[in-house]
Amino acid sequence: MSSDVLNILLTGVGGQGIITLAKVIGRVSLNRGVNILMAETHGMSQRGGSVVVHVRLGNASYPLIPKGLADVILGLELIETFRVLDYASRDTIIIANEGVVRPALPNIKMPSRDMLIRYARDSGLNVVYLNARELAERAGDPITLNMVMLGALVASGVLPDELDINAFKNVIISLPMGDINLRAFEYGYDAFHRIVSGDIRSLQDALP
Amino acid sequence: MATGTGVKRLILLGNEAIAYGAVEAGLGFASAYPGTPSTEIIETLFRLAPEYGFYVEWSANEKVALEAAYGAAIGGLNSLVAMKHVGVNVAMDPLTSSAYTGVEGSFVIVSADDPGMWSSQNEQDNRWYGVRSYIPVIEAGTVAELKEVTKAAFEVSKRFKHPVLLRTTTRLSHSRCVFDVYEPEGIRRWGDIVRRPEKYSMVPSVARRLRSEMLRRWRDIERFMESFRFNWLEGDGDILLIGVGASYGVLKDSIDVLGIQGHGIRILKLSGFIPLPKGLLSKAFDGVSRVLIVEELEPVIETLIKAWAFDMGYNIPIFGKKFIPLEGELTIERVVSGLARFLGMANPLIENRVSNDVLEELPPRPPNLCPGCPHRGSFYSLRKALAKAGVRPIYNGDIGCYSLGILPPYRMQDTLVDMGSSIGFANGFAHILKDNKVPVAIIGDSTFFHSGLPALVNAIYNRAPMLVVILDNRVTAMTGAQPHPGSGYFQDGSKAPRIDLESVVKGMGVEFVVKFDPFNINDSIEKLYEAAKYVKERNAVAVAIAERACTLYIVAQARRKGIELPLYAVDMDRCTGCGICYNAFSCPAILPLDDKRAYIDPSLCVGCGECVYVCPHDAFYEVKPWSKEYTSLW
Ligand SMILES: Cc1ncc(C[n+]2csc(CCOP(=O)(O)OP(=O)(O)O)c2C)c(N)n1
Ligand code: SF4
Repeated sequence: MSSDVLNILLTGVGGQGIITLAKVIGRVSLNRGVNILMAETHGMSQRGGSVVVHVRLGNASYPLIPKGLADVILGLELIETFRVLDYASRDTIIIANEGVVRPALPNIKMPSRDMLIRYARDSGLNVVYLNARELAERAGDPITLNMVMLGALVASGVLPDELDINAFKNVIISLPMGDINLRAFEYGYDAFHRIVSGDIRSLQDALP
Repeated sequence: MATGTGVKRLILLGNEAIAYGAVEAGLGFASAYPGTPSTEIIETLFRLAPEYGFYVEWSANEKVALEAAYGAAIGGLNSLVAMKHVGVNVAMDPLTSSAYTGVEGSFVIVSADDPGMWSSQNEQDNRWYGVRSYIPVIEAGTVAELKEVTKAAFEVSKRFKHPVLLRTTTRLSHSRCVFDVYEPEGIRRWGDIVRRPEKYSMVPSVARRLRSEMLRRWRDIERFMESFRFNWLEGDGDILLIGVGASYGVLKDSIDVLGIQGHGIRILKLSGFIPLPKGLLSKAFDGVSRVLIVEELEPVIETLIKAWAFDMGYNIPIFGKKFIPLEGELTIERVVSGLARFLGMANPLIENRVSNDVLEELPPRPPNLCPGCPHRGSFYSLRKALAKAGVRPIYNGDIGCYSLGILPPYRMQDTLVDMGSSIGFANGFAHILKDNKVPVAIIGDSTFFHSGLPALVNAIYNRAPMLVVILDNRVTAMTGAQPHPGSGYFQDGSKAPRIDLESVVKGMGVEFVVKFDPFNINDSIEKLYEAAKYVKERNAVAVAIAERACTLYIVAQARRKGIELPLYAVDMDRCTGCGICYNAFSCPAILPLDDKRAYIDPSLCVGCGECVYVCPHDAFYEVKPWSKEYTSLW
């Protein structure tokens, strides 16, 4: 299984558009004839709690990814990305939005971003950080943050060959606000390449 | 079954696949009360109904929903009722007798269980209900099978004119994969009058005869299930692994992780397991030396198989819960761990992990009331009003979005057990508390119609003093804003009769009834104060009704219609950083800055304006006012 199934874990906060993001991957897989099984896990839906979607491409029978076997983690919020580290191994590619959303509880202690990034570095994790909110705003609407992250996922090159960039563009353009979403997707795609090539300084290297 | 005409390939949610399966089976009638993880079945049927012409409804509760679908099946239709696992408890009375009478058409009861309790108060295993009620239980082995297995459930029911329990779980219902969808062969929408009291009127003399008939029918069903096409054997060897229902999928992937496929292992897949397919079991047991039953939650099939094996004289070790967890949802890593121990192998998943000590540093992120949720204002005002009235409350909460009032800073759900338990428990507390201790019952509108009505009747009749706060947000919000008898419209938005809460409560005989708008905090405190004082002084029931629609639902409509939302902001010169707005009131749109002063995130603010009342320093002001269009949505 581990050899012929690609395990992608999507994580974030309710309201960030993770389900839409997963549906786009589903739609593209359907169009390109790739087997897909996806599970949405969240508590009591859409009220700002953690949301995790398991996506399994290939011949999987059960929709939940086994802990330690995620090939990719796509994190739309930084705290939530660290919350799912149980699914990661040192081989996992982690693509993380560096933005943090404060949980709406009184008097909570927030972890510092530097602490999290240092932790990931010291644990030998393979993380690429993006400022997805800024890219989404530049694309025209902060709500397109999910498409920025999707662009980065496609750019990472982990997806099967059938799921190429054009397959995604065709689906994204048909969404409501298709042009803004498409721009956000392209910004995320380019940003990933520029970070990996060292063109943009990554957060990890910027640590004191 | 497939006709081959109009085949479409779609990505469907498990629950959508169940709905499509029912339609392909010729569905005529469907009813339900919403409940996670079952809700999308009926939502999908509502979408498909205009095209295919069958009848669908949201019923007032699960018992009524089950009786309605049962009635339609007696009238000759193919009918379906869907509910979450605990909903089946509510419907248990008619469900049990439906196996005695049978039906004329077909009758499929969908029970959506919630292993892991993702959104439920317990993780009861409803397969037991099939065992104790003589109702066959069928469950898909994988998500991909859901649609065809649903059709098979209708076939079994139709063949024996007997109810069938189609069990699904959160994992099956809330996963997506590709399905081929076909046109139904024909839908029967209209039924017949069936006057057969000797079959459908369960007076004792009839019931005794029906019980014998049911037991005879059960033996026929048992024989039929021997060759149920979703049960099968795979591979061969002297070790038998049995995958029950959705646990089959977990078992398959776990075997892959261990790399033991083809290594002396025989797999029995069971999707129709109650009644047990004994002939197939005999074949599966033939020549094996050890057996492991992989099933989620309770040892239902383990118990049945062990009893059967004892009768058959098998003398081999049969295991289940010794290796497979009893608690919580099964996952591949949990089954791999059990399988590895059962087979005496090393667990390959253990080395793979990275350290996760960081988890302790992460703040929890429970779901929370939305920004501008009317329940927040109700909780805030209620607490102030009770303090002002000198009343010491026990907050009997209930099930709905307002259950989130259990979180800090409110912590106003001292009890919360089942739908309707708020008024139910208050009926007990009312007669045992004195000295200004008052039971408060907090109940949503949908829950009130579901099971609050008889509890309130009881309180009035038995003179149980209590303050009942009904939170009327017009919809069943928790499960996704479905309409209910008080909404005034149907699922498709068309106008429906609206049952008016205030008239209902007054008609029952409550003398003190008051309505308040939770967005107006000052007025809400005043009205709730009057109500609390009434209970304290008169020792009687008072009812306060909060009237404000579910914000999430209204904002979604505004977004769809392109209506701009109003907006508030903080006057930084006035804000002292006291934190009342983000700590004591706890609006998620109000965030603390580094210097503790407040900031409103404009992408979260919906303009409810409650912060204006809450802030003692007058720091909040309106940036964009309520437009006429926005006001009209409420
Ligand atoms: C017997 C039963 N049926 C269904 C559910 C699922 N459920 C949880 S809360 C809820 C209704 C909530 O509606 P309402 O009381 O109006 O409160 P709101 O969520 O709108 O605040 C439902 C249907 C349940 N928990 N138990
Ligand atoms: S969905 Fe509606 S009722 Fe539920 S928390 Fe949000 S605004 Fe409140």
